[in-house]
Amino acid sequence: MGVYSSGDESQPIAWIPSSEERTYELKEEHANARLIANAPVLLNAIQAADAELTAMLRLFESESLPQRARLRVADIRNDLRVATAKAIGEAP
Amino acid sequence: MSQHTPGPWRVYKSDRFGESGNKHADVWLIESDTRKAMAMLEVWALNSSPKWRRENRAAVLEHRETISEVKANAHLIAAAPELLAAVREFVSYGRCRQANTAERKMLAEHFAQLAKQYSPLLERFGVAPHQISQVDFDELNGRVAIAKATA
Repeated sequence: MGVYSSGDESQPIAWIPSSEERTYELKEEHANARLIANAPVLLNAIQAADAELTAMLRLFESESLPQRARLRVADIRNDLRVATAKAIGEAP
Repeated sequence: MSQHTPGPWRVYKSDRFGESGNKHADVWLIESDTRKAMAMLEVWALNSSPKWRRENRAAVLEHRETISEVKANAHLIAAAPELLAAVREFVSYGRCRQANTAERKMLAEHFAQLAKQYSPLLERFGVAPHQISQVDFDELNGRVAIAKATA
Protein backbone atom coordinates (compact mmCIF):
# COMPACT_ATOMS: atom_id res chain seq x y z
CA MET A 1 0.00 0.00 0.00
CA GLY A 2 1.40 3.42 -0.90
CA VAL A 3 1.01 6.46 1.38
CA TYR A 4 0.74 9.68 -0.62
CA SER A 5 1.05 13.36 0.16
CA SER A 6 -2.18 15.25 -0.47
CA GLY A 7 -0.37 17.69 -2.76
CA ASP A 8 1.30 15.11 -4.96
CA GLU A 9 -0.24 11.75 -5.60
CA SER A 10 2.14 10.81 -8.40
CA GLN A 11 4.68 9.19 -6.10
CA PRO A 12 4.18 7.62 -2.66
CA ILE A 13 5.97 9.05 0.39
CA ALA A 14 6.19 5.58 1.89
CA TRP A 15 5.17 2.00 1.23
CA ILE A 16 3.43 -0.23 3.70
CA PRO A 17 4.51 -3.75 2.74
CA SER A 18 1.56 -5.97 2.00
CA SER A 19 0.64 -9.38 0.59
CA GLU A 20 3.00 -12.15 1.70
CA GLU A 21 5.00 -9.83 3.96
CA ARG A 22 1.98 -8.72 5.94
CA THR A 23 1.75 -10.46 9.24
CA TYR A 24 -0.71 -8.24 10.98
CA GLU A 25 -4.30 -7.11 10.78
CA LEU A 26 -5.52 -4.98 7.92
CA LYS A 27 -7.19 -2.62 10.42
CA GLU A 28 -3.88 -1.97 12.11
CA GLU A 29 -2.24 -1.45 8.73
CA HIS A 30 -4.87 1.15 7.80
CA ALA A 31 -4.47 2.89 11.18
CA ASN A 32 -0.71 3.01 10.61
CA ALA A 33 -1.23 4.45 7.11
CA ARG A 34 -3.53 7.16 8.50
CA LEU A 35 -1.00 8.00 11.21
CA ILE A 36 1.88 8.12 8.72
CA ALA A 37 -0.02 10.32 6.28
CA ASN A 38 -0.95 12.73 9.09
CA ALA A 39 2.46 12.91 10.76
CA PRO A 40 3.23 16.34 9.20
CA VAL A 41 -0.14 17.68 10.42
CA LEU A 42 0.59 16.40 13.93
CA LEU A 43 4.04 17.98 13.91
CA ASN A 44 2.58 21.33 12.77
CA ALA A 45 -0.06 21.13 15.50
CA ILE A 46 2.55 20.43 18.16
CA GLN A 47 4.76 23.27 16.99
CA ALA A 48 1.73 25.58 17.06
CA ALA A 49 0.83 24.33 20.56
CA ASP A 50 4.41 24.98 21.66
CA ALA A 51 4.06 28.59 20.45
CA GLU A 52 0.71 28.92 22.29
CA LEU A 53 2.28 27.69 25.53
CA THR A 54 5.23 30.05 25.11
CA ALA A 55 2.77 32.94 24.72
CA MET A 56 0.86 31.65 27.76
CA LEU A 57 4.08 31.61 29.80
CA ARG A 58 4.82 35.21 28.83
CA LEU A 59 1.32 36.24 29.83
CA PHE A 60 1.59 34.44 33.17
CA GLU A 61 4.91 36.12 33.79
CA SER A 62 3.46 39.57 33.16
CA GLU A 63 0.50 38.77 35.43
CA SER A 64 2.89 37.54 38.12
CA LEU A 65 1.24 34.13 38.40
CA PRO A 66 2.96 31.90 40.98
CA GLN A 67 6.06 30.18 39.73
CA ARG A 68 4.58 26.70 40.27
CA ALA A 69 1.87 27.44 37.68
CA ARG A 70 4.48 28.57 35.20
CA LEU A 71 6.51 25.43 35.88
CA ARG A 72 3.48 23.25 35.10
CA VAL A 73 3.05 24.94 31.75
CA ALA A 74 6.78 24.69 31.05
CA ASP A 75 6.66 20.95 31.85
CA ILE A 76 3.79 20.43 29.40
CA ARG A 77 5.69 22.37 26.74
CA ASN A 78 8.77 20.27 27.40
CA ASP A 79 6.78 17.07 26.68
CA LEU A 80 5.81 18.54 23.32
CA ARG A 81 9.45 19.39 22.61
CA VAL A 82 10.57 15.82 23.29
CA ALA A 83 8.16 14.54 20.61
CA THR A 84 9.23 17.32 18.23
CA ALA A 85 12.92 16.48 18.66
CA LYS A 86 12.30 12.89 17.62
CA ALA A 87 10.20 13.97 14.64
CA ILE A 88 12.92 16.23 13.30
CA GLY A 89 15.67 13.67 13.89
CA GLU A 90 17.23 15.54 16.81
CA ALA A 91 16.36 13.15 19.62
CA PRO A 92 19.40 12.17 21.72
CA MET B 1 -11.54 3.13 16.72
CA SER B 2 -8.82 1.32 14.80
CA GLN B 3 -5.54 1.07 16.66
CA HIS B 4 -2.18 1.76 15.11
CA THR B 5 0.85 -0.35 16.03
CA PRO B 6 1.95 0.79 19.50
CA GLY B 7 5.06 2.98 19.69
CA PRO B 8 7.86 3.58 19.95
CA TRP B 9 8.60 3.25 16.26
CA ARG B 10 12.18 3.31 15.04
CA VAL B 11 13.77 4.09 11.71
CA TYR B 12 16.77 2.28 10.30
CA LYS B 13 18.64 2.28 7.02
CA SER B 14 18.25 -1.06 5.36
CA ASP B 15 20.54 -3.09 3.14
CA ARG B 16 17.62 -4.97 1.63
CA PHE B 17 16.00 -4.08 -1.70
CA GLY B 18 13.13 -1.64 -1.72
CA GLU B 19 9.72 -1.94 -3.33
CA SER B 20 11.31 -1.29 -6.73
CA GLY B 21 13.76 -4.17 -6.42
CA ASN B 22 16.54 -1.75 -7.36
CA LYS B 23 19.52 -3.14 -5.46
CA HIS B 24 21.33 0.20 -5.37
CA ALA B 25 18.40 2.15 -3.91
CA ASP B 26 18.53 3.85 -0.50
CA VAL B 27 15.92 2.21 1.71
CA TRP B 28 14.69 3.18 5.20
CA LEU B 29 12.42 0.91 7.21
CA ILE B 30 10.13 1.75 10.12
CA GLU B 31 9.77 -0.92 12.80
CA SER B 32 8.44 -1.34 16.31
CA ASP B 33 9.07 -3.91 19.03
CA THR B 34 6.20 -6.00 17.68
CA ARG B 35 6.25 -5.28 13.93
CA LYS B 36 9.09 -5.42 11.46
CA ALA B 37 9.11 -3.30 8.31
CA MET B 38 5.83 -1.54 8.97
CA ALA B 39 6.67 1.05 6.35
CA MET B 40 9.37 1.49 3.78
CA LEU B 41 10.80 4.60 2.14
CA GLU B 42 12.98 4.37 -0.90
CA VAL B 43 15.06 6.60 -3.16
CA TRP B 44 16.18 5.07 -6.42
CA ALA B 45 19.89 5.10 -7.16
CA LEU B 46 21.33 7.24 -9.94
CA ASN B 47 23.66 6.02 -12.61
CA SER B 48 26.96 5.43 -10.79
CA SER B 49 29.21 6.04 -13.78
CA PRO B 50 31.62 8.95 -13.03
CA LYS B 51 31.22 10.21 -16.59
CA TRP B 52 27.43 10.31 -16.32
CA ARG B 53 27.67 12.05 -12.93
CA ARG B 54 30.03 14.69 -14.31
CA GLU B 55 27.63 15.40 -17.16
CA ASN B 56 24.52 15.48 -14.95
CA ARG B 57 25.58 17.53 -11.94
CA ALA B 58 22.12 19.08 -11.48
CA ALA B 59 20.52 15.64 -11.30
CA VAL B 60 23.15 14.48 -8.80
CA LEU B 61 22.50 17.50 -6.56
CA GLU B 62 18.73 17.03 -6.79
CA HIS B 63 19.17 13.36 -5.90
CA ARG B 64 21.15 14.30 -2.77
CA GLU B 65 18.36 16.68 -1.72
CA THR B 66 15.79 13.96 -2.29
CA ILE B 67 17.73 11.55 -0.08
CA SER B 68 17.90 14.17 2.65
CA GLU B 69 14.15 14.85 2.37
CA VAL B 70 13.21 11.16 2.45
CA LYS B 71 15.45 10.57 5.46
CA ALA B 72 13.66 13.45 7.25
CA ASN B 73 10.30 11.92 6.29
CA ALA B 74 11.43 8.61 7.82
CA HIS B 75 12.23 10.33 11.14
CA LEU B 76 8.91 12.15 11.07
CA ILE B 77 7.01 8.91 10.42
CA ALA B 78 8.85 7.08 13.21
CA ALA B 79 7.82 9.83 15.64
CA ALA B 80 4.14 9.75 14.61
CA PRO B 81 2.86 7.69 17.60
CA GLU B 82 4.62 10.05 20.04
CA LEU B 83 3.26 13.09 18.20
CA LEU B 84 -0.29 11.73 18.43
CA ALA B 85 0.19 10.86 22.11
CA ALA B 86 1.55 14.35 22.79
CA VAL B 87 -1.49 16.01 21.18
CA ARG B 88 -3.80 13.69 23.11
CA GLU B 89 -2.08 14.47 26.39
CA PHE B 90 -2.07 18.17 25.61
CA VAL B 91 -5.84 18.11 25.02
CA SER B 92 -6.39 16.17 28.25
CA TYR B 93 -5.10 19.19 30.23
CA GLY B 94 -8.04 21.12 28.83
CA ARG B 95 -10.38 18.72 30.61
CA CYS B 96 -9.10 19.77 34.00
CA ARG B 97 -11.56 18.84 36.75
CA GLN B 98 -10.48 21.11 39.54
CA ALA B 99 -10.30 24.86 39.32
CA ASN B 100 -10.83 25.87 42.91
CA THR B 101 -8.14 28.54 43.09
CA ALA B 102 -7.58 31.59 40.93
CA GLU B 103 -4.34 30.10 39.64
CA ARG B 104 -5.93 26.78 38.63
CA LYS B 105 -8.91 28.57 37.16
CA MET B 106 -6.61 30.58 34.94
CA LEU B 107 -4.70 27.48 33.79
CA ALA B 108 -7.92 25.56 33.25
CA GLU B 109 -9.45 28.33 31.14
CA HIS B 110 -6.39 28.59 28.91
CA PHE B 111 -6.08 24.85 28.41
CA ALA B 112 -9.82 24.42 27.83
CA GLN B 113 -9.57 26.92 25.00
CA LEU B 114 -6.59 25.11 23.49
CA ALA B 115 -8.29 21.73 23.88
CA LYS B 116 -11.27 23.01 21.92
CA GLN B 117 -8.90 24.09 19.17
CA TYR B 118 -7.01 20.77 19.00
CA SER B 119 -9.82 18.25 19.57
CA PRO B 120 -10.87 18.16 15.90
CA LEU B 121 -7.38 16.92 15.01
CA LEU B 122 -7.77 13.97 17.39
CA GLU B 123 -11.18 13.20 15.95
CA ARG B 124 -9.42 12.64 12.64
CA PHE B 125 -7.81 9.62 14.33
CA GLY B 126 -11.11 8.42 15.77
CA VAL B 127 -10.47 9.83 19.26
CA ALA B 128 -13.68 11.44 20.53
CA PRO B 129 -13.47 14.15 23.23
CA HIS B 130 -15.17 11.91 25.82
CA GLN B 131 -12.41 9.30 25.33
CA ILE B 132 -9.77 11.72 26.56
CA SER B 133 -9.14 11.40 30.26
CA GLN B 134 -9.87 14.26 32.59
CA VAL B 135 -6.99 15.47 34.71
CA ASP B 136 -6.52 18.03 37.38
CA PHE B 137 -3.38 20.02 37.76
CA ASP B 138 -2.33 18.29 40.97
CA GLU B 139 -2.58 14.96 39.18
CA LEU B 140 -0.59 16.45 36.33
CA ASN B 141 2.19 17.48 38.69
CA GLY B 142 2.30 13.93 40.02
CA ARG B 143 2.45 12.47 36.50
CA VAL B 144 5.27 14.78 35.49
CA ALA B 145 7.22 13.86 38.61
CA ILE B 146 6.69 10.11 38.03
CA ALA B 147 7.66 10.38 34.36
CA LYS B 148 10.85 12.18 35.27
CA ALA B 149 11.72 9.74 38.03
CA THR B 150 11.25 6.72 35.78
CA ALA B 151 12.85 8.21 32.65
